[in-house]
Amino acid sequence: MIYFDNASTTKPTKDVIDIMAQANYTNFANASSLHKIGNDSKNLLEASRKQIADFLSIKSDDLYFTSGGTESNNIMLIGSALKNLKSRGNIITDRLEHPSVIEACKIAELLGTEIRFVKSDKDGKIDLANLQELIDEKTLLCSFMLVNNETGVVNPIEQAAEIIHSKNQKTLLHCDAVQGFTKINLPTKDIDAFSVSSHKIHGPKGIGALYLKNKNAVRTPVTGGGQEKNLRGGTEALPIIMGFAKAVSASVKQKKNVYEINKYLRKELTKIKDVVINSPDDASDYILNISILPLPSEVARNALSMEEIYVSSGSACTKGHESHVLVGLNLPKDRRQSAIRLSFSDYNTLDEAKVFVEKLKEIITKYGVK
Amino acid sequence: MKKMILIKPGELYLKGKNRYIFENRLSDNIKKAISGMGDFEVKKSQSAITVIPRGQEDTDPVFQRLQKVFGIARLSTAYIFPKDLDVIFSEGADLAVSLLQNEKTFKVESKRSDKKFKLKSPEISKLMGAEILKRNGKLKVDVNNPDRTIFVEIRDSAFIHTNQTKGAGGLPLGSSGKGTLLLSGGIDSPVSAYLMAKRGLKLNAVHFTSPPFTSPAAEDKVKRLVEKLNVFTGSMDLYLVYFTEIQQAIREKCKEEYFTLIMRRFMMRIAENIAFKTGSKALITGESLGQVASQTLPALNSTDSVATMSILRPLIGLDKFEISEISQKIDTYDISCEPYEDCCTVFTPTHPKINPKMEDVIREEQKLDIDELISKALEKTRKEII
Repeated sequence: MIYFDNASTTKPTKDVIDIMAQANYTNFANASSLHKIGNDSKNLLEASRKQIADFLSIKSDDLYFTSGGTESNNIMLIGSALKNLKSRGNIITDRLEHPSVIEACKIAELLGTEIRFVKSDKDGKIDLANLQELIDEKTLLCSFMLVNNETGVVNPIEQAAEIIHSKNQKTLLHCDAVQGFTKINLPTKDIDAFSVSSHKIHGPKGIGALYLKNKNAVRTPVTGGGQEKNLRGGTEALPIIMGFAKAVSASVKQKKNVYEINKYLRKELTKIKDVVINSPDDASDYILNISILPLPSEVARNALSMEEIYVSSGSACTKGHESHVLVGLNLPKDRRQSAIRLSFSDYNTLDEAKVFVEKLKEIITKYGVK
Repeated sequence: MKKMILIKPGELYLKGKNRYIFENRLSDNIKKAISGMGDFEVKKSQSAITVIPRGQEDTDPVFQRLQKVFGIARLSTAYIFPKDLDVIFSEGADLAVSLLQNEKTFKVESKRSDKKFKLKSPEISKLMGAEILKRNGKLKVDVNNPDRTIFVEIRDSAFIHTNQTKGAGGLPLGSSGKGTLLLSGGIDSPVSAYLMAKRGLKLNAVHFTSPPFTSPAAEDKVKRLVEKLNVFTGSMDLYLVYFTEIQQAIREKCKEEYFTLIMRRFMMRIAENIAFKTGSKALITGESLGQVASQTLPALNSTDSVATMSILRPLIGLDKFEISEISQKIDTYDISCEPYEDCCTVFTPTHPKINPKMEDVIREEQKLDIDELISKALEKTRKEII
């Protein structure tokens, strides 16, 4: 099996599975219970929080566990609108964001917040000049993704932060960092909030976190028993939180193999007639979007799947629909409809990339329109 | 009070001396439908079939299940009493009154299959009516247009019931033989399956898959449709035909405007081959006249001409809206609407022939080695029992 669909989700490592199995067995007590074993759970929970916070060089107090990237984005965007119900402020984002941001914006809009979309440049990066124009005294929040989940494009978050904070000191910058987390530098000092997810970094599914410098900036929509300092109600999922912390600490910032795989594929794939690279040159090494013009996306995906090579057609989050990201990039129809996304992990090898290229050539010959 | 289900078969009485065959079939189908739902005795008794719990099982889930069994015209929940006049006219009358609690008028109809029973039917009705009126003076008898009718039947025991529910109608599954359904995964063909099962056909199904042009998800979708249909059709054998090579050969060698027509002729041939091997006497499709280019009269003629067996098209005169309504009723609509491509949408010609000439189709088709392609496809066909 060759798994090139790591932007959808990753395989948890053995260490992660072991620590979760052990925690499920031993540390089942509710971290909010006031007896001894509850307290033990509480201590493990806080140790996990600190482990992740240390890795990110942030204050442990500002990190809140959620069910993942989607929930973190929802809390931030809807929470911001809920907090400012009467102020009629605005939120600035862009059209290439993950659906969990776009859809949360629709709810924020229902709550009376104006949504403004900043233009994207030809590669899909936010247009900083346009951002400068859109910010005003009523801008509550800007939300931009660190790495685009379909193309790997990296947004200029540091520059955006500078523009935002110099134009309106009160405006917060939130960053959906799900795809870049542990893979590229996240300028934590410059941003006010960010969302991360565990299952994209070989951790368990169902857990993630929201970093938020000032908790009072939002009124959470996920309310309940007061857990996570009232920001995210619901019993703390200790075993998967421990798995998450394990995955973070195990993520070494060595991406040499991914860099080589990406470089190799860019070089070899461009040699194949009718294959086009859609990801810009400076995109994240972890994501490579390509179009195989003689094959519709789903046919390429199915044919590779029959060879036990797993890739995404579009992103798995929006199956069945044409990618709003590729539409937003103004790619011609034939490229949009034949696009597939390869996404890598530190566990992929160059040999796998070589097999991929060979199999792809065979598939094009066998099933492509002549 | 012990309950049972009283079933009135549908058109079976039309079948003269063959009636018992149909009744036996229906009775077997009822047993199959409720197997695993508890310990029930299914018994034929004159013109009815009774389903009686041997223990304390609830009859309500069984009642709901039986509403989907073909060959049942009407069914009702009846209450069982001993054939004891005192009990019938005391406890039975109490029950009748409670069944009439929201009504103003009523009548009693009685039937006596047990001719040894002391009272005749009109006498039973009269006495029961009197007992009811004694218990609730506000009720009035109206023999012409009552709000509700109380039925008293004297069979092995005495049964009291009211309010017959309409059954699924049609003929018992299997009583019309066996047919082979061409099942695509769209809205239409599952509806065809339902309608033909209703006319007593036991079905098996053929689905064409074209990996990698179709995905494993499309195949799963078809399996889920068959599961949904099971409630009406019983368990079905599903034949998954490997169609990729045929479609590729057509794409490579034939003119684009004939793709769909030639493809459908291959489908008919393959389905008929499977039908012959499995004892089917008809092919069933979900075609509706003029719905798409391949369902015009000349197109249907062109596909018909490759099959020797009868092709049944129960939807031929229905429009999409009517078909969708049935699809919703039988609960296949939502699955059918899932957006997975099926092999009919692979290589769809931009300008399909809507008025094909037979000789042109045949000329195009002869560019292919038909027998070889079909035998290879059949070799790679998989059978699943769902």
